[in-house]
Amino acid sequence: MATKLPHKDVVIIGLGWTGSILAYELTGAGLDVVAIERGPWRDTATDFPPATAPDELRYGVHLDLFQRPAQSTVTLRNKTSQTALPVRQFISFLPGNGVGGAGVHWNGMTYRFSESDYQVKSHVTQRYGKSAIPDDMTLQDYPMTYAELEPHFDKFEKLLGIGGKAGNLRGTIQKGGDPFEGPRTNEYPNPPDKQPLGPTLFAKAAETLGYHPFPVPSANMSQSYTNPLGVTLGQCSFCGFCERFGCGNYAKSSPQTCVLPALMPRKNFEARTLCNVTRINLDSTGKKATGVTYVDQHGAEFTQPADLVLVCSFSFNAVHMLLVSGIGKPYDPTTGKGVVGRNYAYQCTSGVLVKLDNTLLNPFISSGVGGMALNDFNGDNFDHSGLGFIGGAVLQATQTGGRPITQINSFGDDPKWGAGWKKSVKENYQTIYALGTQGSVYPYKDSYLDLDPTYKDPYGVPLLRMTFDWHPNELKMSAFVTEKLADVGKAMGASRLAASSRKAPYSVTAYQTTHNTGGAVTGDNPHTSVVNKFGQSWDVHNVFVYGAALFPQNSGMNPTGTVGALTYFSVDAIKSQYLKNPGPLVPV
Amino acid sequence: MVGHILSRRHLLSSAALIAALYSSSASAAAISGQLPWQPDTNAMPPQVKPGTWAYFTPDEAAAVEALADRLIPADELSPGGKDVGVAAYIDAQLAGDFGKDTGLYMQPPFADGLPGQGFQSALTPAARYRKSIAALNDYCRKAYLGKVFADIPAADQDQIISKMEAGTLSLGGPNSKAFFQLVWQNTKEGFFADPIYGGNRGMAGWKMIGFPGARYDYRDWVEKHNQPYPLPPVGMADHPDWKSHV
Amino acid sequence: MGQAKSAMSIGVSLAAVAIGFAAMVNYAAAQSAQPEAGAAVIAQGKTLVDSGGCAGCHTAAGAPAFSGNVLGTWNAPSLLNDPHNGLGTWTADDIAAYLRTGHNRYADASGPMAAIITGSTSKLSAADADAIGAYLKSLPAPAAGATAAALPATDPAMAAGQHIYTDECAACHTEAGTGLANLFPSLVASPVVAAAQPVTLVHVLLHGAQSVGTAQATAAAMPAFGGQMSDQQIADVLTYIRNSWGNAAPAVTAAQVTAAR
Repeated sequence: MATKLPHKDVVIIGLGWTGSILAYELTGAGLDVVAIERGPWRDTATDFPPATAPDELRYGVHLDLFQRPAQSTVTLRNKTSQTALPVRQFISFLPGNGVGGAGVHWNGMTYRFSESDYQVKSHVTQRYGKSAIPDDMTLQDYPMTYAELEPHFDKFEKLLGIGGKAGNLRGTIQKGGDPFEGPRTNEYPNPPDKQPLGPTLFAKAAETLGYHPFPVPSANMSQSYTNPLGVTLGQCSFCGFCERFGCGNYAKSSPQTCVLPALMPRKNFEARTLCNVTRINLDSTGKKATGVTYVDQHGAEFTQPADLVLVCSFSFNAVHMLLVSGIGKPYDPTTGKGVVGRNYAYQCTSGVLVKLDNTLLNPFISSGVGGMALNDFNGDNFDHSGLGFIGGAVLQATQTGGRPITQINSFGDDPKWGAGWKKSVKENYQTIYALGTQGSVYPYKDSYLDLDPTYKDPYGVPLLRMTFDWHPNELKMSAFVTEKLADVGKAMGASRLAASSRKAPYSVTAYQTTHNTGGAVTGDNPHTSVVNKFGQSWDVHNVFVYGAALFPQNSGMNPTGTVGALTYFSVDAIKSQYLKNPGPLVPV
Repeated sequence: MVGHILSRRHLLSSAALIAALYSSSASAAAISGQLPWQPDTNAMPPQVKPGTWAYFTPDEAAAVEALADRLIPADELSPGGKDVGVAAYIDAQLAGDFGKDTGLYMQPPFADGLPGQGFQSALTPAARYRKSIAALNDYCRKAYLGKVFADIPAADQDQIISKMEAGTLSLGGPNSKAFFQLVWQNTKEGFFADPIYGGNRGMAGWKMIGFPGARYDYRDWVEKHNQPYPLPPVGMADHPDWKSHV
Repeated sequence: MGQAKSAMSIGVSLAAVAIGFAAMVNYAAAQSAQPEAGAAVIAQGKTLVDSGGCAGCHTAAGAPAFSGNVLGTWNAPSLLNDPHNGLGTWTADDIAAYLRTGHNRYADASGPMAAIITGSTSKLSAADADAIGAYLKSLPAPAAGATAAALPATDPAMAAGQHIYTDECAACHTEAGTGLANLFPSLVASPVVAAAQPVTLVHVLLHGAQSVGTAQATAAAMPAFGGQMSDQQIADVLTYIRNSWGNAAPAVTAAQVTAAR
């Protein structure tokens, strides 16, 4: 029997980036807020100080900061005709866990998608005609424009202290920045960081080919920075232990370094850790949420009544929460009806290895982001006529660490073990540089999330089932951009080069990206979206969803910038409209 | 320590300046009022010391030492896998969370599935080592006049490892290719993980490739492109330069 | 028992200080809406410092006023205008920022002072904080005594300490010891570093500490190293810090650390 707790104005499920921002904004509006987090509390000096943070085995291999599959995982199949099996060990994607969420252990790449990415269906149709979109592709526009999101990107970048170089300031193209980006109101709050050798060589080669390299917008501080909340961050020391690791010297933007110090002193905020929300409760009409039910670490069950329920967990955990709570109609791929779980997407990554003789890359000297990128082949920045695909990818040369268990590059024909292996890794460590692409993935009728009929989590709740495979559009895109990347690699003076574009089937056995998106997409039509433009459920007006689950499809860049902008966009509407008159913010 | 706790507690209560760290809400851990902070946190992982085996039988340890020494043979670049403690590392791992698949999703039903669906075995790594080493030694006893893997010539060990790698060695039950992949992954970890975990003794793996280990500040070297980094490696608990008194 | 007793007396004196300051909040504003520079402001500052009870912690029995004190496991550092063991490098503005936020470009408050800042000085008006800064800066510099010489870099403790510092401390406090404004304390020209009895240094290195959270919200924390370094290693790195970058103070011994564990 669940213990009923005293009422709160707002309950937040998951205390990562979106949860902490919303808690800060809504406690600032005078509301009584509780955040319920499945994982533990974490902070810099107590959990990952410089003395113990640089531990590749603990964090990089054994994934100490991540969600444990035993807590919850997904099942996977490529096609509806197959039987999904549980992802027993996370490899392909690594969902976050604990206070700070993935914001603790991300690298910190903080892009804005291309302006046309937010209206991609209209844009593609207008430029190439309806036939450019494959029949089974369920592409759709965001329900707001880049211009509407711009002030919210700006706010998010200032919160995090992103370092970069603007490429388009109020319509004027800036040298050294990304000329393909949408117009920005302001320069980045911090300058770009120093570049190690690899990205420097990449940028030089890209320029000789006429491309437009720019520093990857970074949440690793290029200098000490105090954000608008009065929180000060340190300077990145290029330790090389960033992605999968917590930052030991307050130099990577995270909820811990940007928000929680300003949030926690507020008397109208409370965090409950090691508590797992099992469902959102609805009233007898099914149109209004009454709060949530959760289980604490001792197995005791509680109900937390609240007026407003904000779903702030990782994308597929958010979709799972809606499905198990009966909020929104589940998507049915056979009829195409229903919306929850529809338009699940991923990112299509690929790589090029280049051997640079007589170099010392010193790969261990690296921030998380540390690198140069170009968007000449991203989104619709290039003419797709006759290419047979739509979409694109950012081409990146980053140096994210030279951690020896997981980050030594080698060519396929290098010796695999023994004396030959030793000789080759010693040589390769300083001379093989890995370039990468991060490509868009557009949605399809047969790429979706639903509940698994067989496998359950420890609470007896069905696991989420992922049905996903690569489609010809993405594979052609990957082949194209990988070839372009290889051209840059050749121009870098590679003595050996290996390019590997993405191949089907989708497999969970190698790390690709944790940019899983969709399933609770935002839109202006309740038949093709789960939530309206403010992230508000069409069906239950006091439930709002945040994070990459909102993306109608995935673009060829890191999603966190858009996640942040959508969050600020939504909370503005909650504060200015919803609180005064709780109800649907967009008429159904 | 007692004085420390008393002084802190008394300070807080008598000055009445800071709200209680943990307010109680039923049995859930509720945190409010300020950033929670505790003294004396952040213990390092325990140092794995050689000497006794926590999981392996002596025969198993000998087989793993022999495998590690062929996968990473001693030469001018580094000592061999046995001497850098690879088996000690793997032993400690198998006795711990890794060996038990702690944290992984281990609910039935188990099915083989497609390669892209990833690992689907109900057998833990510890069990896989036990079964596979037994099968490997059985194979060797038949093929090499009663000798186990650890006692056959290095060239023959290499041949067997190559067959395991290719998946052409029949070990009866265990899949030899899967076992090779497991041992090789763990051997690399034992060569390159922080020495606190029992392998990488003397930071030999790091020295071989020029990785400076658990250092945390390269600000002065970022733009010194193509210049060798001057400081030797350090481990979380390996600091040869920290001694002022011998 | 002795330790517990001294801890109790600290608590009592802190409570008194907090009450004293609370009563004095906005004193300057009440006295004069536009405090004038110079003597009047300094006088206001003196009144605040006297009634706030600063001397209760920062002056040892029988020692010159504000020349520093030891309270259990914490130093109440010297507030004198001494560039090595005092606030000589701080401006009046630095002092005011420290009182109101617990942080400035040199220091980040933790321990008993964090509680004082939370409970009272963070509530001072800007004018009152400025007045205290002006008053403390008006105090005469101590008579130049025999300046201690720093230990030579060749000293075995200094050599080991330098390695420890580079490996464990520089990522935050920087190789030059300067720290980062409002985040990591400077170890250069710091009265906490230079104190005759380095109790704060030993305590904070052993157990860690959290700085105070105010409008300058960061509240960064110092990790505990007691589980990771031996007493000798803690002594060596502290000896190095106390004798580098212009600092000169007696070496820390392993026995001092052992006693503080």
